[in-house]
Amino acid sequence: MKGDRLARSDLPQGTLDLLILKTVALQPQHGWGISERIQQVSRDVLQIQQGSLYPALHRLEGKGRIRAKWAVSDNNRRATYYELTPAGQRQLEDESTSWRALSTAAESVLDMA
Amino acid sequence: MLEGFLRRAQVLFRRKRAERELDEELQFHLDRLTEKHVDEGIAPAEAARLARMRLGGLSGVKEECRESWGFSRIEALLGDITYGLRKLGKSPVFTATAICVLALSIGGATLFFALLRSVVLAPLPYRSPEELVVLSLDNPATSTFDQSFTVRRVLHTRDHGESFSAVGAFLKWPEVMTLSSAGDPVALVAARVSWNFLEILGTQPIVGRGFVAEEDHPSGRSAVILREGLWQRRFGADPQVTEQVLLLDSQPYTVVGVLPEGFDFPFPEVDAWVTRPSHTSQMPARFWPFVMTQDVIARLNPGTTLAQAQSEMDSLNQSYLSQYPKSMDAQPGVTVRAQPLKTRVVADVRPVLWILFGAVCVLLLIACTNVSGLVLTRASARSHEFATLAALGAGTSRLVSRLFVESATVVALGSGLAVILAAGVIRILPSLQMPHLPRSDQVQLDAGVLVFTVGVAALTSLVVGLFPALEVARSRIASLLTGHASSANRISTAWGKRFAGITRQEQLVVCQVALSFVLMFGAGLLVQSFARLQSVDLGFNPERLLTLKVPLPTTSYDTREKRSVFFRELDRRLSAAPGIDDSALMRSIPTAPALFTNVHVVGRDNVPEREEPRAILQSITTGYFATMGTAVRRGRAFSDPDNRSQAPPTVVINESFARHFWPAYPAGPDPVGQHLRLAFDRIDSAEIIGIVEDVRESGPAEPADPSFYLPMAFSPPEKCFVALRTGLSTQTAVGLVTEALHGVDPNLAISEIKMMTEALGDVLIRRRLATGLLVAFASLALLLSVVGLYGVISQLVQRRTPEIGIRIALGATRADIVRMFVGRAVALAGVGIVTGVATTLTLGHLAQGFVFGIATNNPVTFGPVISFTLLAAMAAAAAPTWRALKVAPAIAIQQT
Repeated sequence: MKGDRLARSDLPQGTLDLLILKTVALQPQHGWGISERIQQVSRDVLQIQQGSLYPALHRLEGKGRIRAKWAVSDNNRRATYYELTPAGQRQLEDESTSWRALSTAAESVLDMA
Repeated sequence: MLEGFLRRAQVLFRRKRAERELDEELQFHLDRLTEKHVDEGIAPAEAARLARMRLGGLSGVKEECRESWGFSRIEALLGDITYGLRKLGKSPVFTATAICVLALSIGGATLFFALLRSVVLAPLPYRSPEELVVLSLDNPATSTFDQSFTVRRVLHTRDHGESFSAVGAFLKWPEVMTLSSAGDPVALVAARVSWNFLEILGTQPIVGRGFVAEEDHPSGRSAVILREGLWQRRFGADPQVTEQVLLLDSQPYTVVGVLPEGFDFPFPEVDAWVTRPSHTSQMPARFWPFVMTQDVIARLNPGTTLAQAQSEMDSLNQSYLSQYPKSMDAQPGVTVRAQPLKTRVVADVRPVLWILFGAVCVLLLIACTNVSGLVLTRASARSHEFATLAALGAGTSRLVSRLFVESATVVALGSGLAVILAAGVIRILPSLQMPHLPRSDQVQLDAGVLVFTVGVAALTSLVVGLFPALEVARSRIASLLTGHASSANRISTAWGKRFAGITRQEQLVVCQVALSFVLMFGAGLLVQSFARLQSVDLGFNPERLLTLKVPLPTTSYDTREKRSVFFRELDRRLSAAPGIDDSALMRSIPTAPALFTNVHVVGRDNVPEREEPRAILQSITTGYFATMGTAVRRGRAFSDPDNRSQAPPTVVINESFARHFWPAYPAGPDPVGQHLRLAFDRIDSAEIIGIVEDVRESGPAEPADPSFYLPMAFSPPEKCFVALRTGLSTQTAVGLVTEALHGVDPNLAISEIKMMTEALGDVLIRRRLATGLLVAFASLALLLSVVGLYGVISQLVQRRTPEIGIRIALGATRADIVRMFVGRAVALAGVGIVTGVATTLTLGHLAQGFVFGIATNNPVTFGPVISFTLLAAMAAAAAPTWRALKVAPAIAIQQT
């Protein structure tokens, strides 16, 4: 595994929510799919703590950011799929904006000659 | 918000399904993870194990998910409550103790809050009651007599006062009138009021009408308004009662209306209202225009403040003083005081109720700390349980909330019982006939009181639960580290080190001792005051002294001569009656209002009559001093020849009178042989023939006033009291008096039959009640502290049992062991006492107005209370110490 410890342990608070929201925004996805997707897209840099994924999903559902529904998965098993709600959409936009602003700011600081 | 709630509610009902789905969801994840590992070339069994490891503790993950469902919190709470109830059910002694302690103290607080609210805080039941004010006079020049408005000043205020929309007056004291028609003669409490008093208050009679102006005129018809209770008892609630003519003190009065129960103006428990507030039966009619006997009731104009009214009264007072400089109520220095009617109504009971409410709050605080200590002790004993729960994954917050829920459950049960208790007492309150507690029939457990109780309960559970919760939160980590039941004990001591070796339970006990010390000190003060009042030398002997009143109709007894003849004849017949040891007639008896008049010592500088000093005038028959048991200090008492109108006028004075006019008394010039001018009875010169000891006419709490005695023949009153000392039953004695009375005049009735001890008891009853209640509170407080101390020392003994074994094995004596535990109890009590003493010294002055004859910081009270507390502490330590002494070394050491 290429993923290093830094990326795993230092996932900032709230980042997981953002990643989940972004992932399910593309298409409804089950928990396993979300975890695989994030790992894949980040080229294994971001590894989600499997233990914290489901509590986060249930928490977001509790807040009405995502909605759960049952569907049949690609291997013909029943699975819980999560999809974005309008409230989740708004939160995703807000947080993406501020996250981008933050990382741009951090980058420009790091780029100082 | 609503959506979230609905979703949660949905989850609540679909709990099982949600659980199943969660299982399925996680299983799906595990399966995929396992598949992935298998794809990577790992053996299936190992792959499954790896998958579970990566997911983390499955039950932990599930628990976290459930928490976000929102339902989990409610469920946990319900679980904690059932768990708490089950736990409490398993230790019934603890539960019953805690619930009873809390029920008593919260119930007490509820009851006294309800009393305060209805009696002191609630507005009076009149129209816009905040506009009602009472005006009275303060005269610094006279200390003996609380003087008030004359008729002239009332009129002056009415005509010139611009702050008021209406002005009326009432006689400052209730009068007792005899109702001698429509059945057996009966004594009524009557109030004399201006005709417009109902208009000022804004109250309607339930039958008939209020007074009209004409009924206030001396020439007009005399009218009376009855109280509902009297109307029902005596007239069968007959609506036709109006226009009936009643005989009151043998005078005809026409009934014009009926006022409802609960109408308490100007005093509680008035049976009848009559007009002409200046016409007091205390004075002959010729004095009525000049005497200062009335207070003013007035209604402020809307928008006028009390301060504005007061300043207007101040300037009005100045104009009155300059306009009528010679008037009796225009002495220099006289001021007018305007106060809200309510202040006046509750003035007597307010301090008592606040003191008792304060006491009951202190008791509640003690109860809180006590139950808190109990819970804490239980929590230590249950540290193993908590350690287990913690090891199974319960968070600190979960443990703390479990403890809180448990103590809140106890408090809730206690509060429920408390409300029932308070409601019960309030229900029987009117039937207790609390003397002189105004508005006691209006006390109720309304929403406001219940809000108070709920608030108190919430605070209580916070206080009760706080310390144990802190302790558990603190000890949890240590419990986890050692995994041993005794860890909680170590924690207690670890915490204790910060507080110089005092554990949390011990701190609570110190608080309890300090608080109960304050209560005991207060109770001690009241008990001592009361004892002093009981032992006050009254100047007469109240035992077996029967008193009753005989009013004389002014129509048939209109001259002094007629009255003198009547008194002489009644006196003669009473003296001859068999079985009556001593008897006498008098103008007034102790505890009844006395008549103050002005006196002048012949030969001293003349001053205007109104500036002459005042003293109590007592008209008596010759048997008076013997009957009352009042000692003659100098000279002689009256003999029969003195009590004849042809005899030279003679007077007997009391010692206060002697000291007032001859300050050097008993040394210096002898008052006996001097002469007095007594304007009231138009006596120019009466020789002082004797000096008697002071009689406390107003009861033991009030100092004796200067008084002088005249033979009945020289000052025949309009009504008289009979006092007799007899071994006969009251009924027989009254029969004898009635017989003697009807022998003189068959048309007369007697009323106000009372044993003097009873009358004195009535004077002190409020004080007696407050003292009794405070003693009860203090006893409860002490009991709670002793229980608290007992618990702490028991725990100490238990904890140190192994150590005791070693000590005994090493040769420690029994005295050492006793010192170890009793010493600890005494030390804790000592800290409590010191705190208590400091508190009482700081707050003592609050009780100053309520104690009699002692200072609030006197060693006489401190001494016994301190020794009593220390004794109680030793008693509390006795049983546990006894257990410690019986420890066998071998067993003790085995326990380690």
